[in-house]
Amino acid sequence: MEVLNGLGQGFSVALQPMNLLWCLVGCFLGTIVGILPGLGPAATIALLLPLTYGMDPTGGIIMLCGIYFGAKYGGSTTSILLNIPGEASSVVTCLDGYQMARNGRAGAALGISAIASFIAGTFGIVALTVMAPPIASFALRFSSPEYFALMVLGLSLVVVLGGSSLIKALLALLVGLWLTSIGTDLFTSQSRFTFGSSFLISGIDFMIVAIGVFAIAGVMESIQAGEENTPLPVPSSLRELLPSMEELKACRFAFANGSIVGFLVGVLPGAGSSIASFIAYGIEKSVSKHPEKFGTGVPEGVAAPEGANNADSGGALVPLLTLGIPGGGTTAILLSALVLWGVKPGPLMMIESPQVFWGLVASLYIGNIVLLVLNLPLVPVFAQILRIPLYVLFPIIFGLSLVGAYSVSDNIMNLALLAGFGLVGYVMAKFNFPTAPLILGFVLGDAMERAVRQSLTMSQGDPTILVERPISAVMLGFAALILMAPPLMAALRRRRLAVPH
Amino acid sequence: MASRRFDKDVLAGLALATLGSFIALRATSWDLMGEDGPGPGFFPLGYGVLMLALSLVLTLRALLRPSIHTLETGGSAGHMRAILTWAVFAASALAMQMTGFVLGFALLTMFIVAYVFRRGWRSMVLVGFGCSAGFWLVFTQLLGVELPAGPWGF
Repeated sequence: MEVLNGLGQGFSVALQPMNLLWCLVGCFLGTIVGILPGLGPAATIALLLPLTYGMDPTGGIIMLCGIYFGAKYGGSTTSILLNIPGEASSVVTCLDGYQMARNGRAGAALGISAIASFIAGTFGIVALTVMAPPIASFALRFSSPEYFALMVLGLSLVVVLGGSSLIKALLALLVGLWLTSIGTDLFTSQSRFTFGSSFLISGIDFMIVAIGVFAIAGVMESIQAGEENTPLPVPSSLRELLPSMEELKACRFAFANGSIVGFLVGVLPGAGSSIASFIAYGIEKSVSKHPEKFGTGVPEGVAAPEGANNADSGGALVPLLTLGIPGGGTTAILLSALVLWGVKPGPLMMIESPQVFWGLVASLYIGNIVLLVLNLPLVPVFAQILRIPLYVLFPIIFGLSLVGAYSVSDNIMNLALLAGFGLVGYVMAKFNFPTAPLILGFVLGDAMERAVRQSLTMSQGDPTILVERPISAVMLGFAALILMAPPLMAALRRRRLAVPH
Repeated sequence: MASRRFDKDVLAGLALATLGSFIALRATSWDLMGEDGPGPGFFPLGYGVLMLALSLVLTLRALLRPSIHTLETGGSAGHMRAILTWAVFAASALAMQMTGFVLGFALLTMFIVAYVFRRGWRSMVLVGFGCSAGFWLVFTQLLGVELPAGPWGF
């Protein structure tokens, strides 16, 4: 009943003409920018966030969520038409999507992708609506030690699931923690790591780090790769976009598979939509009657990963909105935007800002419908963006990055930092360091430091407070298990291999 | 052993070990624990030490593993292209204080068109000034966003 009341309140907010307009604008912009090769949801939101600075919190957040969902929808277009994944989670879509396009079924692949995204996206939002209130009421028992433990648990999942090397992911996370320490200490006003620069006293803005690491580094990687891609013919009519009945029938299980896997994986911090899409594709292939055809252009191979990619968005919002813990780079940017508007995500968000919370959830339902309506008939129009040559596209991305970074505080030093973080992101990619842990470390660093220092102040310096309280002890125990498991399993594997010798 | 000097993980490990040492040393110059609880040096000391330890593990592991994977050499032209583009991006971003956004961005765009994509001077000028004018129109004129202004006001 509480959920229905809240949702009713949310729809009354989301259906206000201005909020409806922001939802539409967000979905539209998100889809357009999401279509651009190399720009995933995180970079898209980071680039477009400055547009919402002057808006009221509800409208701004509704628009950002529209951008988030729109970018996910748009990302599949380049995978299918160009074999260029717009983001990591669209990599799997390339496998069968591009093959379908080569087989003359580009329209059907785009249509299946839109339908799967709609079904799974709606499932993810319904699950978010049902699960958010009980999780938030449980989290009301949390104090500083529990929050610290929760952040440790979330970050440990991020580093374990976020990259191929646990040590590299941990190191990236620690660099993020260091970057967030630059500036004035919140408790004592002590300047830390400012190197005598007055500019650094107020710290480094999150937007500069995010745009540098995602957008600038992304363009540099594309320039380094120097790939030339010849687009396939873009479907030009609605009829060309519609999949056949047989294709839709073949995708029945894939829709359900993508929805459930995507949501469950999305709830886990750090797992991310790329893991969700890989798992959904793997399940689909393993239960298929014709697994050998996967990779040659089967519609299920598009529906499962695309569904998982979108259901993941609803799942990722569960820890963000109820616990204030972002699960990945994109939700970390959403968190920083919420904080910017004075909204504090967490268990009290539903009580302190019910309009924002339920308005956001309701706008997701509306946004999902808007996206289906936009995507099916307008994909041919959106796809014209793919005709923009890269020699125009790259300067536009650089230009948007410069505008976004400069507008943070109208200071030229922001641009120097932007260039610096672009290089950091590029070097990290070349040295196989994941960037998501750095971003999460940067976003959570302040809150984590505050939680641990408040906990130790509460206990007068006794660190056992962190393990004496049951909830925090359990979470820290899980975190230790998660971090210990990969090296222990690797050691066991080595021992097993060594036995025959 | 000579090729190990260029191993990615060794280089990264040594760089991060230096950073971790710097963070830990700097943190010890601030209060670690006071009467009111942990001081400003407490948290940085923790992650600085952890960074130092983990980066040493990364370096040692790279030195001890049998197969050596070195810095890519095949894509060196691509790396050069990317790094040079970045250098021009950084230089034009900093120069915007003197040149203003419009001219600085136009020069950056022209460099990308000419150097990265090897287009002719006509495309270079057209895209350079077209993009720049588009940004000025949309952001400065329509949205009222402040952008670096040169001596001529834009």
